[in-house]
Amino acid sequence: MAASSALLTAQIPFPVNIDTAWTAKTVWMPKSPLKQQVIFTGGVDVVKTTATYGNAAGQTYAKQWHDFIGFTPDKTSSGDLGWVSVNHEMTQRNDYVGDGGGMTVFKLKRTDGDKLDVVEQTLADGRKGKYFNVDFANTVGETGMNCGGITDRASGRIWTAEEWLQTSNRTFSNGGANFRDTSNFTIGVTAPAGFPGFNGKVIKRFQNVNWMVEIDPVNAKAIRKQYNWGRAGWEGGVVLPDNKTVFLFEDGSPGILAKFVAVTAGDFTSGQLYVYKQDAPGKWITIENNLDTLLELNTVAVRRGASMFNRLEWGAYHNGKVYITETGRDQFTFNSGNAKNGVISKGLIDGYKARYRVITGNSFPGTDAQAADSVRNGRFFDYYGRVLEFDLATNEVRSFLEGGPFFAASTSQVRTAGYPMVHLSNPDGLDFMTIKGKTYMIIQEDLNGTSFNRMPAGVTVVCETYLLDMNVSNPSLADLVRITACPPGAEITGAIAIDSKTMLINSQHPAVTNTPPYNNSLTYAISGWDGTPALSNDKFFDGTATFTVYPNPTARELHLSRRMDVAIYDALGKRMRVERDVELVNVSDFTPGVYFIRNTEGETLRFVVE
Amino acid sequence: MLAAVLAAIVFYSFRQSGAELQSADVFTARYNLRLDSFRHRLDVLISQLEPTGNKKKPDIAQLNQQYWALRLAFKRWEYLAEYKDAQFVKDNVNGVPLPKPERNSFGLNTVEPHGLQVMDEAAAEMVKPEQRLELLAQAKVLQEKLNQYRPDFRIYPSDVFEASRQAILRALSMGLSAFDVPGLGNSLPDTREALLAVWEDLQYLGTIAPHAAFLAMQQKFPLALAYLEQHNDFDRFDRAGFTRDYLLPLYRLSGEWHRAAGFELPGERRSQPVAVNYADDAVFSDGFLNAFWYSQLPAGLETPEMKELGRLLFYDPILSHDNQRACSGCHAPDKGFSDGLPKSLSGDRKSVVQRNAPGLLNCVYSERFFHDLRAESLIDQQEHVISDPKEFNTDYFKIIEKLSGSSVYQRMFREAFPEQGDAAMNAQNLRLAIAQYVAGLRSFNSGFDRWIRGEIRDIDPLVREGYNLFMGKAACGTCHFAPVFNGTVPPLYQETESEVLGVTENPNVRPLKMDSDPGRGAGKLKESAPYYMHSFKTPTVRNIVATAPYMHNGAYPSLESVMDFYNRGGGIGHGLQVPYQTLPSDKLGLKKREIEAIIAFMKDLEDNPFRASVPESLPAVEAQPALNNRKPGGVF
Repeated sequence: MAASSALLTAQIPFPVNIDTAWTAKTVWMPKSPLKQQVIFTGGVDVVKTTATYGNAAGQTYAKQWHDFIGFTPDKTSSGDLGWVSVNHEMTQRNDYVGDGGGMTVFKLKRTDGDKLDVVEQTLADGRKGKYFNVDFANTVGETGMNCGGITDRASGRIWTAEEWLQTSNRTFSNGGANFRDTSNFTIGVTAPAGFPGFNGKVIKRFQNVNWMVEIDPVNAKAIRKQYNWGRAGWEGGVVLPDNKTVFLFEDGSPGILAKFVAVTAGDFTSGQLYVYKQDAPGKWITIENNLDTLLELNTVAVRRGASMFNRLEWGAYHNGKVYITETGRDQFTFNSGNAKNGVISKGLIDGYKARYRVITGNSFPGTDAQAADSVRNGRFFDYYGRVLEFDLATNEVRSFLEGGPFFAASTSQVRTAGYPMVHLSNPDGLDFMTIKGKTYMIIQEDLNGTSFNRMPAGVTVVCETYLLDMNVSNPSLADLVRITACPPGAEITGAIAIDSKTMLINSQHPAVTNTPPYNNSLTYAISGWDGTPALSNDKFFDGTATFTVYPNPTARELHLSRRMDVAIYDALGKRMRVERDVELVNVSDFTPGVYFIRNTEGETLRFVVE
Repeated sequence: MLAAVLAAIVFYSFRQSGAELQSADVFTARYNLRLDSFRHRLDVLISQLEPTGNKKKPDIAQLNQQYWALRLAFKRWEYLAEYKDAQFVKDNVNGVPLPKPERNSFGLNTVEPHGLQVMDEAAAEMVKPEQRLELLAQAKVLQEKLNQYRPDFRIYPSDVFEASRQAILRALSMGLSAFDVPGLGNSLPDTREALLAVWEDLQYLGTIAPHAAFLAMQQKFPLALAYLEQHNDFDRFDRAGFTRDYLLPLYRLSGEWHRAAGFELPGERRSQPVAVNYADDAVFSDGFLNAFWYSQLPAGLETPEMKELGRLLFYDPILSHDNQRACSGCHAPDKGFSDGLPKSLSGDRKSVVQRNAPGLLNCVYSERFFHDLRAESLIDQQEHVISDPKEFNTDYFKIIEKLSGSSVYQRMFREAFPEQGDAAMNAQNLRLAIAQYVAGLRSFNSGFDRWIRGEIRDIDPLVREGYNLFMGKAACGTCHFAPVFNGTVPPLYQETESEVLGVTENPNVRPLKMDSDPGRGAGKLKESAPYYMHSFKTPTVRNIVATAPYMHNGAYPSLESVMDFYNRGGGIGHGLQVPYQTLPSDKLGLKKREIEAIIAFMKDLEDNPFRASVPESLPAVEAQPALNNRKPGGVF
């Protein structure tokens, strides 16, 4: 009987228990050079509030649903780094912090080593504490669904964006559950500085959301809604180094790309607004500074033939170019209603042609105009999205990096060679970071789904963060380096590098089974980037001739020398994980200790997680 | 000699290792062949439906035959396709035929339904030319989506095991109830075909990993398939017997075999937990679904100290602004954790709250909370009650301030969250403790549960008939999914559904008026869609006998009145205008005895071991002696 059961377990390549005594070779997984630190937790940390809706100034728990992170350097005291501004992407009635969404600000300091502290502050309005609610309700009017925003790297100025374009007071207010006030809003009555040219104009309450809103993080107050930049489903933007030009990205489908050029550097209250139209002379069409036009910017722009994008998200400037994420959408058409007037952006034409090649195995045989027609008529299933590159010298936009798992040998019916290691899907957050003198693009995913190989089959949603070395010319997905330093299952947003050591990241709605506080929305710092080994996918394998692995301590991954099935065993030789058809094993949740990795040939390596 | 034996064993083990990898080739090849066959059947149907230009009448019988061939080809492919990429199948191939908001969108955008269930509604009226055109149009959409589909995976024995169990759950909860054939209505041949594919693959596994459980399956599986072949009358099919005698034993055997054979288990393949607890072999049991997956609480937190803290807080009126009302005021343990009122009394005792207080037993098995689905977890749910001016009318700060004045509560928080020491008394932990208590109100030991698990031999024939009707002719089970009999969708049980029924304001007042409550349509901002207006969460029917009156507005005093509402076809069946009603509007045609049977079944699902949970006393609050005369459960 015993013999037969022994044979039974011997029939599988990865028995439940193995004898580890024979393992010859040991691979070391060094400690990660990166350290995580939670610095702000929604629903747990307390924010100091101003007098609002008849309630006295006081305190309450911070809102959740963290999204964008802005950073404003402020080194007034030793060790100070600056002010962090965090968006809350939600709409909820709140007696103390104001209805709708909102923002929280706090000041960070670096103490010994890489450790960060939130510093207690006293604001000009007398509020004293660590975390402060940004006052919108008593200044420029409430905000809602604060998603993306802008950090002007040169000045540290911050704007917050409000997505989810509102179209009526009824849904906006939702019976008072989202916003209690549905009375008309008069511009410039409560804002300290008002807004020249718009003061005194009366708009419906729901029309006072979906603007870019500038805030003053140091005083935790809003400054102005940027009426002259237009009202649209803004998600992100970027202030160019001239401190006059602002690019604005709309999360819509069709979404528009806009540009504001100030008369005077640093003064964004007067200037000219433009919308991108790739086939216009000069590529931009001017938008008059008229509130009626600005209230309906998308409609007006598309009616005038603007270039139509498929959900623009975040962007950043680098080396004469603006890089913008276009997150994509599973199914869309631009052949009805107002969209008939717009032109299909070059990025979508590039994307369609790339996808055509994958699906059919052949290059798209037609012209760009024919490809544009296919996109317009809903023949393009934009599952993965892309990163766009806008060249400031030529005013041309192109697909810089197409998302997707693009298989090397995709023909229509043949099973592909296997799931690619890198699968960039629905890019959302974008920033640049300099690590040891090299510039990297940081790209964050926000998945629209898991189907069509956006995630390996059977894997639940994990929105990943990738780094791309900007010295790589004509990059492909293979050049992306995955970083996995985040709580499992979290949708991570808002990545911003605050210096060469530290990146801040928001985790919006983490996996349900994480231990507190990881089950709340939180902002955390990943520090130690200046101490990371080379960030690349180059591998220096270590092992035996048939079975070699390469530990990547930064990504917490064991890279395998080829695609294979492997099993991981604990120190006692008990099987704990089986990975099929993989090129890497993610060990980010492994506690330090001894493990074994075995392949289907029965060969085993010991690896030590430090 | 020893060396030779060792060599033989090594050779044997290598050969068998090879067998496992070879089996992956076989399963993967079968999967692709089934996909090809499905695609081919779709191409054939399209070619037959394509207008030819000549006036010849189409051969309806032949078209029906082609349509059935397509369905069966789909069913052979379905179980592994759903297992590997449920989202692809749901979005494109076999989703519910209702509009829904686009996932992860930038605004409220609607995805119109496509796929086989829409096709089924058209195919049911194949004789009508316009329905044939609709069928053709939908078939072409499906064809285009299938052309974009690139299965990139290999299928291993452990996949076949887990998928087989999902297939059994799908058969039990959806296959036998005609969930996905809204037009044609008889899903028994489909169910057989799906199980046939499972059995084909399990038999192959039997050749490489023979085990006692496989031998038992060799007895059972062919009998189950034969039973389905011989009993093809949808209205008369004995679902209770088939589930008890075949499906549940096969579910258990598949799990036993999987574990004994040593192939990796689901927990070794993915790092993220799922709702179905694979280690549990009994479907109608408390262990079947992982309560922690739903409650979003770490399993390690469920200590006796934590449970006791949660229990005291649940019954303590200190949570309300005037220290008079506790959670249990509207969720009383002797009423299935509801309050017996159409709508609960407000804190001011003059008005009522918006909706009926739902029972809490087994409420944890839900992805969303409140009748309008506006809260995402039991943790978030509480805040709405605490801040609502008509309910507790307070906030966490004030509650914590009061609790801090009690040394007993101070100690209990410290003991429940030992690693947090003196900082343990905070709003976060308060939420966790109450959520933990509510999540613990689970029970799966009704007479019906024990009978279907095989623990008792006899059951009232009326209850058995009631289950068969509930899951069949009366179509209750197509929304109240087994085994919780709520709106959490099998076989993953990770998503909670709501329905537009067209519930009346008062069924006894003529002319009838539809209840004006917008429900889910005004729940979450991102769901304020016209098709979610008047849509409400599907609650469990377990313990429903204790939670009268019924529906979101409590307008239906008895189970008889509820059954009458459904039997007539919901709001539309009562002659009301109900745009987007999700309940079929045709009459169910249930006879009096059949209604009695369904009610007998629902009454049999009563099982409340928590009746005596009200604490005798509450912790003293030294800092505010005035609070010390508060009553457990509060005053109403």
